[in-house]
Amino acid sequence: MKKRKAPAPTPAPAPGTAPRSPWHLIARLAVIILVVIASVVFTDRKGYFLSDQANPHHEHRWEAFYNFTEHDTVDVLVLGTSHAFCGINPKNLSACLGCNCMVMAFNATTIADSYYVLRETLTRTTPSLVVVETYGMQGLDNHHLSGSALSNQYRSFYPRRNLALKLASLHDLFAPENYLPAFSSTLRNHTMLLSSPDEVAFNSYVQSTKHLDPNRLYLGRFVRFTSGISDSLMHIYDSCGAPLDGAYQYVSPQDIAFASRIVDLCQQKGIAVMFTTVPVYYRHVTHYPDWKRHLAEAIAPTNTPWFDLQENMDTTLFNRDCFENTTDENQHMTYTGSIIYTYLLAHYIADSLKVPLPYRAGSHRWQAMFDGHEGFYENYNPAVSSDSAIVFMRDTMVGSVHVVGCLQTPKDMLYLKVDKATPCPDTLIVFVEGSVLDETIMGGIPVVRNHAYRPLHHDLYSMHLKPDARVRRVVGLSEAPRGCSPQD
Amino acid sequence: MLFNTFTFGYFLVASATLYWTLFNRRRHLRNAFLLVASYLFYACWDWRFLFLIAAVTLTDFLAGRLIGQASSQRARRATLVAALVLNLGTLGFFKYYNFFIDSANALLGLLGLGPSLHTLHIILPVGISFFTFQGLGYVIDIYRRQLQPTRDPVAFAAFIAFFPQLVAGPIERARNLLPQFLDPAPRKPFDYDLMRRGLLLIAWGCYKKVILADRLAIYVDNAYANPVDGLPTLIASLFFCFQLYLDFSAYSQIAVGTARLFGFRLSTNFRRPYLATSFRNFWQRWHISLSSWFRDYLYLPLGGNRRSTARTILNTLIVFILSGLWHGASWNFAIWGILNGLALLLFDRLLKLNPKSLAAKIPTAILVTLVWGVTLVFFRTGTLADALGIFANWGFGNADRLFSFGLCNLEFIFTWLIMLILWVAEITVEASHGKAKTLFYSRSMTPLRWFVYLFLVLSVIYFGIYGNGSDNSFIYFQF
Repeated sequence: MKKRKAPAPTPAPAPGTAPRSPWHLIARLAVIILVVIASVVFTDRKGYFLSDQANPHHEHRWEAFYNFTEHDTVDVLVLGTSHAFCGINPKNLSACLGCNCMVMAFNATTIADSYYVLRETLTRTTPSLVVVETYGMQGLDNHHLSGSALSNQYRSFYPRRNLALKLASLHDLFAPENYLPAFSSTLRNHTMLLSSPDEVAFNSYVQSTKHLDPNRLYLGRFVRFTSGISDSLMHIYDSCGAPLDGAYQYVSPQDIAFASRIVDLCQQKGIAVMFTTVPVYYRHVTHYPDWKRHLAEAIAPTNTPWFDLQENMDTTLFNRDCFENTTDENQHMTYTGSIIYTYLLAHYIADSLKVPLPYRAGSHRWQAMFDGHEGFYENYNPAVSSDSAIVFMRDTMVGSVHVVGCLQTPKDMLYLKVDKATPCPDTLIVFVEGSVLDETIMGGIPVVRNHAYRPLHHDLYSMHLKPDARVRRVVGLSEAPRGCSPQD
Repeated sequence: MLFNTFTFGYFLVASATLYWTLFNRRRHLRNAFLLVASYLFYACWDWRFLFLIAAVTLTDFLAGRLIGQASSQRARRATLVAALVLNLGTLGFFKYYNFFIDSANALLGLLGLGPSLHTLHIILPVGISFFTFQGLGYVIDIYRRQLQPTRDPVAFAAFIAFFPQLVAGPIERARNLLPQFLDPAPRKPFDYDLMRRGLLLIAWGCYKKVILADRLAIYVDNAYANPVDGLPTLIASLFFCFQLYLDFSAYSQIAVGTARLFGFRLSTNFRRPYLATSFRNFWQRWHISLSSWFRDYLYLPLGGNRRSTARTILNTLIVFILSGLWHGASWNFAIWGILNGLALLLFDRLLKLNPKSLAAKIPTAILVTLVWGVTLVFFRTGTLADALGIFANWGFGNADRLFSFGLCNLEFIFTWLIMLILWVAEITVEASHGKAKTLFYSRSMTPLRWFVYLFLVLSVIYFGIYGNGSDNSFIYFQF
C-alpha cells in the first residue's frame, strides 16, 4: 500500500499580490448569497412550487379573512383541521345564528397551529365565540414532524400574513431545520421540478388568476365529499372492523399545552370558547371512550364546554350518506353530514352554551351580504321577492298554523317555514296555483319536515319541484291525508 | 445535526463567526471554544454519550502521558494494553455485545444446547468507531515513539471531538491534526485560499449528497425493501454502489471543507476510487484514512507482506474481516470484508491489470467498480438470506417497473445524467494529474469559478432532496 500523502500546502500568493482579508471572502459570499436569495424569492413570488394551486383553499381562507375583516367582524370563529371545514358549513352556521361565522381550519394541522391562527385572527377581529375542533390534538410533536404532517403544517403556516407572528410561532410549529422551508415554497417543494413538471408549468400559467374575488362571501366554506359510504365499505367494516382504533390515539404534552393556551387567550380577551368533536361514522372507529379519555386530559383542565357528537351518536340522523367513503383512518363528513352537524352545533351554541352573539341578520347590510347563499332561504325570507326567489307568505296564520314563510328558491325548492310553537306532523300539503310548461294548474304539493336543516325558531318543510314548475300563489295548507307520500 | 441540514448551516455560520471574531486570541481559548462547539454538536444526537467521549478522551490522554513518562518497556506495554482494552472494550460493548450474544445463541442452538443468552437494549453511540480509532492511533504512536504525548488536555479533547470529523471521519492521525491544535501562535492566521477551497468543498459535497446520493437512496431503499425480479433490483444494486461513494465522499468533503473554515487541514479520504485500475489501487483511493489505519496499526504489525505468501494471505484476510466488522456488527459485513480481501488477493493477480493509457484504464476501472458493486450487496442487506435474495432477483425482466421505486422517469434520467457528468469530471481531473485543479484556481479562470460556485449552490437549492423532514442521514453515521 502506498504511503499516505501529506495534505497539499496552500500555494503562496503571487509576488506583489497582497494577501486577501476576510472581507474579500465575505464580499464574495455575500454576492453568492444574494443571487441565491433573489432566485428563491423570485420563484416564491411566482408561486411556481405551490403544491395546491388548482385549489389553493389555504391561501383563499386567509385572503377571505382579511377581505372580510376589512369591513366586518367575525362573531364565531371555528379553528381546527379538515374535519372542521368538511363538517362545519360557515354559511349555514351564520344563517342559523344570524351572525358572521368563519372557519379558519387547515388540513391536518396541530392545535399549536390553531393557536397561532387564533392569534393572527385576533389582530383583526374579536369574535364572541371560538370553536376549537379536537382533531388537531393527535399526539404529535411539532419538532418531529415529517412527511404529510410536516407538509400540512407548512401549508397552513405559509399563507399567514402577519410576519411578526409567523416569526414568533416558528419555534412552536417547526424544528429549526424547517424554519427556512416554512417561509419558502421553493425550498420545500422544489422537487416538483422533476417529479411534477406539469404542475410547475400549470402554476406559472395560473399565477394571475389565483386571487379570490374580494366581494365573494367565502367564510372558509369548503365542500370536498358529496357521496356517502358505499356497500363495499360496509362489507369492509363487516370483515375487517373499524379502520380507526381509539385505543391508539393519544394527546401529546404539546396538545395539552396549546389547548390550555387557546382557552387562556380567549379568556383574557373575554371570548367564549368551546371544543367540538366532529364525528366519523360509528362503525369507522372503535374504542372511542379510550380516545375520549385522552382528549379529556387536554380539555378537562380548561373547564371548557365540549360538544362531542361521536359519543352516543344518533345513527339514524348520521347515516351512511353523512360520511366520506374511505378506508383511511381519517374520515370526513360529506356535504349532507356537514349540514346536519352544523345545525346541531348552532342549536348547542344557542340553547346550551347561551353565548350572547350579536344578531346581525336583522340588518339590511347582512341580509344583502348573505342573500342567496347557502342557508339563507332556509332561515330567512328575502326582503323583496326577486325573479330568482319568490316569497308567497310571510308571518301569516293559515288556520291554526303560524307560517313564518313560504317561498320558492332559485334551485326550485319549495320551502314552508312553520313556527316551532305550532305542532305539526312531518308531512303537510301546500295548495298552490302555478304553472307547469306554461299550463296553469292548481293542486296540493306535499312538503316534508327537513331533518337536516334545523333553524332555531321554525321548522322547515321542503319539496324539490320540477325545473319547469312555477308557483304563483299559495292558497292553503293542510295536514297530509293518511297514506300520502311526498312522491305523490 | 447532519451536514446536509439547515440546522448545521446555522451552527456552522455561528460557530465560525464566533471563532474568528471572539475566540481567535489565544490557543487555549480557540481550543476551548472548538471543544464546546464540538460537544454541543454531538449533544444534538444524545447528550448522554458526551460522557463516553469524555471517558475515551481521558483514557487516551492519560495513557499517552503514562506511556511517555514510563521508564521501562514493560510499563509502557502494560499501559498500551490497558488503553487498548479500555478503548476496544468500550467499542466492543456498544457495538458488538449483542452481535456476539446473538451469534453465540445461534451456535448453541445449532448444537442443541440449553437456554439462550440475553441481549441488552444498547444504543450505538454515533461515531464511536471513528473517535475510538482516532484515540487509539494517538496512544499507539506514542508507544512507538513516533509522537510526543501532549500536555494540553483541552487541545487533546478538541482533537478527539473536533466536530467536522467526529461522527464519520476522516480518522485523523494525531501526527497530522494534533499539532494544528497545539499551534502556539496567539492568533491563527486567516488563510483566504484555504477558506475558499473549504467552501468549495462544502458546496461540492452538498451537491453530491443532496442531489445524487439522497436521490439514489430513494430508489435503493424502495427496491431493497420490496425487491422484484429483474432489472429494477439490478439497477438498485448499481445505484447503491454509486450512492455509497457519493454519500461518504460527500461527507468527507464537507468535513474537510468545514475544518478548513476553522483553519485546519484534514487528510483526504477519497481519491476517485471508481477510477481504480485494480483492487489494490482501489483501497489506496477508498476511505483512505481507515485503510491506512488498518495498514499501519494492524497489517504491518502482523507482518504485512514481508513473510511467506501464506502469511500475507492470512494477514490480508484478517485485516479485511476486521475492516468489515468495523463497519457493522453483522456477518454480512464480515462476508463483505472477506470478498474484498479475496478480490485483492485473486482478482489483481489473475487478471494482472496494469493499464497505461486512459482508454485502457476506463474499462478496467468499470470492471473493478462492478466487482466492488457485487460485494456491496452484502454491505447493504441485513442478512445472508437477504443478500442471496437480491442476487436471485437480478435480471433484465420487469423493465416496465423501473420507475416504480420512488423516482419518476424524469428523475431517473436526470440521475443518470448527473452521474455521467460527475464521472466525466472525475476522469478529467484524474487525466490532468492535478493540473485541472491548479488551472481552476488561476486568475484567468475567474468567470468559470463564479459559474461553478453559482451552479453548485443553485443546483443544490433547486434539485436537492431536503426540506421534507425525511431522514437523509449519511450512511457512515451508523458505523
